[in-house]
Amino acid sequence: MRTAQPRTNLDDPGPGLRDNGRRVLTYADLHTIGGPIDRREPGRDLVLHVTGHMQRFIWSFDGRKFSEAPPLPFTYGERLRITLVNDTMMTHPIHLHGMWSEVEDESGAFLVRKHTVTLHPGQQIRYAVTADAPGNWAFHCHLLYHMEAGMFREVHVA
Amino acid sequence: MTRVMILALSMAASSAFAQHVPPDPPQNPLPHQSYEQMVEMMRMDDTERYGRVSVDQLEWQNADHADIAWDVQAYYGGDYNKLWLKTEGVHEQHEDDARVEVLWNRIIHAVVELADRCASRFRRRTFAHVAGARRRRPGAALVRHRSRDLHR
Repeated sequence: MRTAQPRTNLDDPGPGLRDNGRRVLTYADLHTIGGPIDRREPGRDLVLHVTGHMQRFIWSFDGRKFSEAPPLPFTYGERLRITLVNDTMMTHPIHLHGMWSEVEDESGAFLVRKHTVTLHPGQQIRYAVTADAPGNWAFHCHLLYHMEAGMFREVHVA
Repeated sequence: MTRVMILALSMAASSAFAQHVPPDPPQNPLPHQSYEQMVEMMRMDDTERYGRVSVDQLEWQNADHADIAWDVQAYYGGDYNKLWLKTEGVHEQHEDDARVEVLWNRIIHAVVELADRCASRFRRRTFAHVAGARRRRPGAALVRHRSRDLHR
């Protein structure tokens, strides 16, 4: 299943927390002081769909489990933009080891620097990464049951 | 005093982020590892086989004579192929029937599954072989082939 029209707004608290009479903080309320660590425009775009099959408990990126997918190559020193689209019906906190995830707002401007980026069902989030840490790094959903079931990739920075 | 400290801390934080220093290269860079080595180290294997037994009904009543009823399913396999066992039956005064089915279940598309089924009904001594595909959503069968042997 593909999310044909993913939502890109960051001010939605997500399923279960909408319209509950309280003010719920969202990513739109977060602002990192001092701007991004790297002011270059990202040199390339990496689009990854967050995919899964609930009944069989198969979890993956782009429909490929960790055992079926090659590592993601990053060039040392490059600035790239990762676009995550959540095609599943669950929320996934996605963690890139070794490097910062600098989340952009809907207009593409820098918003907040994070380790783990949480994606709601049907949502798209874009963030910039500077590949300043050479080596092999983990990139995975931080719901560990999903990670172990295949929602995991290796990132090679070289 | 507190206010001054907070101001100093926030200034230190913002200047530290503005002058981001990339981390040093890893002291012990990991060599390339095979999937098997990763599995061994991380204890994380998405090709692992697993199983489940679910008991929907398991009854035994010792009245004048023993009444038994059961409805049990079990499977074993990986994400794409599973061996599925289904058994249900009753043993009562006026009813006595038991059934065992063995299925091979394979996913061929996100919402389509293939099931190859051998079923045996003990009391009536029948044996059936059914192969079919079904859609998970909205839940209608797509194709079905059936053959049946009657050993009377």
